[in-house]
Amino acid sequence: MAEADSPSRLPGVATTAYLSLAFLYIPILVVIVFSFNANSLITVWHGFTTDWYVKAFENEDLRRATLNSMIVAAGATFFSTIIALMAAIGMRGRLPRGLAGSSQLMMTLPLLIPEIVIAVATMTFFALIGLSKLEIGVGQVLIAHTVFCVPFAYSPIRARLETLQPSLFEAAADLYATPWHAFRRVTLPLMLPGITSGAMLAFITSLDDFIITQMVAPPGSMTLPVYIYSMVRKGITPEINAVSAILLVISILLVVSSYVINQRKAV
Amino acid sequence: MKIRSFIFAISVAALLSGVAHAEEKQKLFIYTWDTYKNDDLFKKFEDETGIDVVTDIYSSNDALIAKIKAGGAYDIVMPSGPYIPLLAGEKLLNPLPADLQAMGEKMAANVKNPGFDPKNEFSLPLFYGTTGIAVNTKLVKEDITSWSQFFTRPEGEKKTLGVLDDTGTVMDIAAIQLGKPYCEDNPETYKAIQALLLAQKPFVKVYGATGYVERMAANDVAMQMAWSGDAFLARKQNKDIKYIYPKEGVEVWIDNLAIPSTSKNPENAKKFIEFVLKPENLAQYAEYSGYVPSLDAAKDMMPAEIKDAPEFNIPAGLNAPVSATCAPKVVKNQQKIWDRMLK
Amino acid sequence: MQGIRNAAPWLLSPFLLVMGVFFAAPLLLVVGYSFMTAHYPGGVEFPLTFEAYTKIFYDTDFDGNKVFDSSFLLICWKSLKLAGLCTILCLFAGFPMAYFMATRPAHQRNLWMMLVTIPFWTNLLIRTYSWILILRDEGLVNNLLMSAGIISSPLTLMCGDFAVGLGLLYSYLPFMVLPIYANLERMDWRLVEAASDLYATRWQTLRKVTIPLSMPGILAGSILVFIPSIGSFLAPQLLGCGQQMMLGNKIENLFGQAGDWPFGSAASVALMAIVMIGLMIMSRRGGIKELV
Repeated sequence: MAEADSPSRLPGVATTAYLSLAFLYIPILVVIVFSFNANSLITVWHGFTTDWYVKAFENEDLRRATLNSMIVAAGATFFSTIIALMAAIGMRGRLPRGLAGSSQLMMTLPLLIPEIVIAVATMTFFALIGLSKLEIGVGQVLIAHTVFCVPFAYSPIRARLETLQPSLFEAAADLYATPWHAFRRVTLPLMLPGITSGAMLAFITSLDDFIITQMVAPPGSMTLPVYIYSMVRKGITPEINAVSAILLVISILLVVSSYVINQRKAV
Repeated sequence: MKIRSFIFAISVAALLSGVAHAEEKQKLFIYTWDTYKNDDLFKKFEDETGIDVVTDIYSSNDALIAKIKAGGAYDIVMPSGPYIPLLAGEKLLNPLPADLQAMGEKMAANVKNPGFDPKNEFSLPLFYGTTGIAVNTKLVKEDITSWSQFFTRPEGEKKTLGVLDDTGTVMDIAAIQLGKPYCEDNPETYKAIQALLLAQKPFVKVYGATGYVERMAANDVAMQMAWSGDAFLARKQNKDIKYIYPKEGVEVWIDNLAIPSTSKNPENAKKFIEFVLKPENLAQYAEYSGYVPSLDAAKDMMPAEIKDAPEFNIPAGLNAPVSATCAPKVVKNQQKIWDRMLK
Repeated sequence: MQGIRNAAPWLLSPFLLVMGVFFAAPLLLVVGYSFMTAHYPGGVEFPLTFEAYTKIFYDTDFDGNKVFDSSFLLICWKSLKLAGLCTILCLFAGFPMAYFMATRPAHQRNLWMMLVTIPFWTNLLIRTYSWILILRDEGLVNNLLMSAGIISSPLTLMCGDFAVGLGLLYSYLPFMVLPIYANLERMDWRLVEAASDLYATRWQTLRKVTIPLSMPGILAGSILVFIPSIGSFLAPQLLGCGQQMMLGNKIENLFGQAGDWPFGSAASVALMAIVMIGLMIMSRRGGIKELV
């Protein structure tokens, strides 16, 4: 589309694009590359080693933090995806006046309100209702994560739902399918790419969260980002880079998969 | 069909986790500073008692208070002295059992019957240390002997100083430099401290303790207001670092063991305190953290090159007042000085 | 679908319940706390008072007099300034990037989309602290420049507006690129060709055709960058070395070290107000559609 003589070609644009792309990836590459550095003072290259990864795997706190992160992310994904799915379908139905608008607002609000405010609000709320007395441990973090993951799960689901033609449902109804039947046999399978995409986004969002988790986490329920931050405080070592690199790679794989799935099953 | 099997799976999982819970080991939740997280020592405790240790880290005493207040059910916390009365006043600490309180008598002279908890009702000293200057001798050629060399630099010099962001510590040091007592509630003193800090600001590269051990070791700062243990740790990585006791004096502070009122395992907490305060364990702990152990017996057990290191020995006769709890009004004013300075 | 249509409110109820209890209620609590009295070292108590809000403008000095104190307002101003700077920089880098992406052949476009989105989904904390490794005195940039002989002593890149601005730009660039790209992709490029047929230069086409048509995307991107960057926490905290007090850090400090929850709540309310106002202004000019 933009061949050399095409009117849409602008000078400098390609350069800016490539530079910006490099800009976006440099920190990621730095983390990964220097996780193999044999020198403890990280930015002086000393030799290649995988020792830091070994050290990371043997680190019990790290294992615990990873486990917590996985449990919270899986749980938050599960609940937020279900809630988002129900909400997406519900939003297309008949709703009392104003409910659609205010629901839409509630769906976008978590994306706009600064995370720090959500963090302190959730912390003070949990303190007030004495949630820690229920001793649900990681569950406390799970609840907080579910809340802000819903909008992230919602977006692809809603987008997918809108591509589905109403005639499909009419056809199902014509064939004497009950609403539930129609949902299970028609809607759900067709929505699957959107649901999967939404679930993955929710998972990554939960996995990434730092400030909300830090303020809300009860004892022993530290997650990976909180653990990394406490280590960064002490001073950045290649071990942290190793841990971070692992986390980065997981996120990248998830995003790529989400993309591939969404592309392939386009109806 | 899928939903039904899913529900089944969840119930089984719930059941299993319930069973697992019943057979769970005894636990101990520790909330402490990053440099006090001694995995080897904690493992020794786990091996001796069979109690599983889980450690979380805080970066300031205020973060500690906030977490306990929000209901954080930790069993052991390690607050600095001035915060003990605060925590106790907020009913956030459990009184120590009588036999633990009695251990207070065995403490070293520097930390015995501290002003913030004379009868060791709520706390037992763990480590004590000083706040002095960590000088990078590679970057600083002059001989540093005074706080005034830290607070006033020659005009036009680049930003090379590192200052802590713990307001209590900074205010205490400023008071020492000005020759005033700690926590003085006097408008003139406040203004003097404010002026001192503002005059220093153009030369300060970093305010904060985040990663400052590494910063010192990486030659990022020429002079750093540092806690003695962190200076010790930095010196281990970088031989050019030297810990200085300025002639006006240093702040002495004490970190203590305490049991929060939110604790779910107070008996395990007691066992931990008894374990840590055994001289051989405390010695190992002190070597790890770089601070002076509260028991002389422990200090004697440490290897000579550490025991005699500058960070572990306050020069005799030096002005070394122990940090104290300031009245809330004073704390507010100190925070005000800090905010205005950072503006 | 009929049955589902009728069941709509029921389907929405888990969402409303969860958001109501765990999102709306905490926020309302914060608003409520902003009207209470501070209890040092943390927490709130009665009586109800406006004092937290007066702290935004006034402070009692050491002699006990109430004086106008600009420190909080300066923090607000700094946050707005850095956020604005970030938005402009994002525009300068983001628009060309989006333009380039939109003018690629179809199969390449998806690849570009993915490439731009990937960093966005990876952990921001990690990517931000990585900048410390790059910018510090013994970091990547200085090491490279010094070994190439370009400078003899390290440049101080960290701990200032530059580092924080860079961090913000880094965090929010994809937010600018993606809406503009979405907009440009849907644009009718025949208009560009038509302009060229009518003897317009490339720059004239850009100014008179492309940019006006991509306004919704530009506005959406600007909202998505400006609003969150005001309340940003990680970039000022890690890259500002404790000196760049933006609103996000200030609030965290008030709930933590300063132990002044009412003032922290008032600051949160102020931040939310700024966000809301910014949103209303920008939605007036259109562009909200691209957001959702």
